[in-house]
Amino acid sequence: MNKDTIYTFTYAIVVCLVCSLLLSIAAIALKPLQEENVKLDKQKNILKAFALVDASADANVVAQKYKTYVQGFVIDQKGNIVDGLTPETLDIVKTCSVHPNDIAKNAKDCLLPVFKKIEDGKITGLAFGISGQGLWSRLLGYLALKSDANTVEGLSFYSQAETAGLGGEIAEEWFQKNFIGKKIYNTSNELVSVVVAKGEAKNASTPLEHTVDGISGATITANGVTDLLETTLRFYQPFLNKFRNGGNS
Amino acid sequence: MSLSKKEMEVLVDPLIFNNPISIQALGVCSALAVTVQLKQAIVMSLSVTVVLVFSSFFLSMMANTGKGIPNKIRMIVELCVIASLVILVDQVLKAFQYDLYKQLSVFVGLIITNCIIMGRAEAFALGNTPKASILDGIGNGGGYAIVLCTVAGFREVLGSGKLLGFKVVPEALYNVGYENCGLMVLAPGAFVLIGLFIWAQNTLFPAKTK
Repeated sequence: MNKDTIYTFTYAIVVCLVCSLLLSIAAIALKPLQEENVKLDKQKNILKAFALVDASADANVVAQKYKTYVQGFVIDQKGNIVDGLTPETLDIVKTCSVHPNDIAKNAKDCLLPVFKKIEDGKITGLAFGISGQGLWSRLLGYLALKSDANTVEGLSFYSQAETAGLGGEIAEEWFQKNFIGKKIYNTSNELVSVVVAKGEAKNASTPLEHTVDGISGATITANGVTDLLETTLRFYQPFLNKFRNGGNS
Repeated sequence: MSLSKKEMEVLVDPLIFNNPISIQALGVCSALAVTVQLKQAIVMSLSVTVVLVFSSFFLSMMANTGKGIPNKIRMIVELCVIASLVILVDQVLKAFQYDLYKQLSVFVGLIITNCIIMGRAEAFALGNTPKASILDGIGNGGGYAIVLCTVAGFREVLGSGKLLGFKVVPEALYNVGYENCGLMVLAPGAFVLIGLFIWAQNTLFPAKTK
C-alpha cells in the first residue's frame, strides 16, 4: 500500500472513532435527563386529559399533581387488574398490536394501562392509553372519562408527527376541547366511541353527542383518530363494562 | 474581535446578496417543509445556524491541520462530522428542551440533508481559515433564517390567520366571508412565496446578481 492510502485509512478510522466516542458519551450522559422528560411528558398528558393542568404547566407542578391525584394500574384483556406492573412504562403499541376482532385468540398478550383520578378518596375519572396510525405517524395519547365511564373529560396526544398546520392540529387545544362532554356509549348502552367528522360535527351522519368537528385538509389523520379511539376502547370494553356495572374498581 | 473588510463581507453578503436560498438555491427543500408556522421556522433556523457554524469551523480546522482531509474520502468525512453534530443537537434538545424537541421531531434529523451545510463546507470552509468559516456559517445561517421566517410569517398569517400562534386576522373579517387560504398551509404555497421572494429580491437588490 502506498503512503496516501495508509493516510486515508488512518484518517477515516480516527474520524469514525472520535465521532462515535463523542456521541456515545453524549447519549449515555444525557439519558437519565431524557428519560425523566419522557416520563414527565406522559404524566403531563394524563393530567391534561383529566383537565388538571394546561399545556404551560411546569415540571414541578406536573410531578406534584400527578402524585396527589393520579393512581395508575395495569389490566389484562378481560378487565382484571394485573399486579406488579407500572402503567407509565407500559408500551401499548407493543402489548396491543392485535386487532380487536382477534382479541379472543390473543387475550393474554394484551396488557393495558389505566389511570384513576382520585379526589377526596373518590374515583372521579378514568384515563386510558390510546394508540393508532395517523397519516405519517403513530399517534399516542390519553383519553379521560368522567366517573360514569361514559362522558369524555379530555383527550391529549403526547406523540404525533402529522403535517404541521393540518393533521398536527390534533395536538392543539381547540381540537381536543371539542371532545369534552361527548359520550362513548349510546342510549342503548352500546360502545360507539367518538367520531371525528368530515367537516362540521352538526352536519355529520352520526349523532352530535358522539361526533366532533373535523379538520379540513386532514381527513386521513382525522380518520386515524376515529379508528384509534374505537379500536382502543374495544380493548378496554371488558374493563369499562365491569366498571359501569359497579364491579371492578 | 475586530473584523477586516473582507471578513465583514463574508458575514454580511449571504444575508441578501448571496442568500443561500434565493441566490445559491441551497436548502430549498427544508424551506418548503418547515415554514407552515413561524415558531418552527425560527427554531429550525437557529438549529441549522448552530450546526452550520460548528461544522464549518471543525471542517475548516481539519482541512487546515497537517495534510488535511484526504481528498478521496473528503465528502464522507464531511458528512460524518455534520451527522455527528446534528445527532448531538437532537440529543441535547431532547434532554433540555423536550417540548421543542417534540415539535421539531423529524426536522432536526433532516438538517443532515440540508444542502446549505454540505454546500458551504465544500465551497467555503475547506479553503478558508476557521475564523472566516465561522463568520460564513453565521452569515449563511442568517440568510437562511431571513427567507425562512419571511415565508413562514406569510404562510401562517394567510394560511391559519395566526402569527406565532396568536390570532391576528380579526374575527370580524371571517364573519364577512373571509377564509384562510388552504394553499398556504401546503408545500405548493411555499413554492409560490419563495418564487415571489426571489422576484422581489432581484428587483430591489439587483446589484450583485447576474
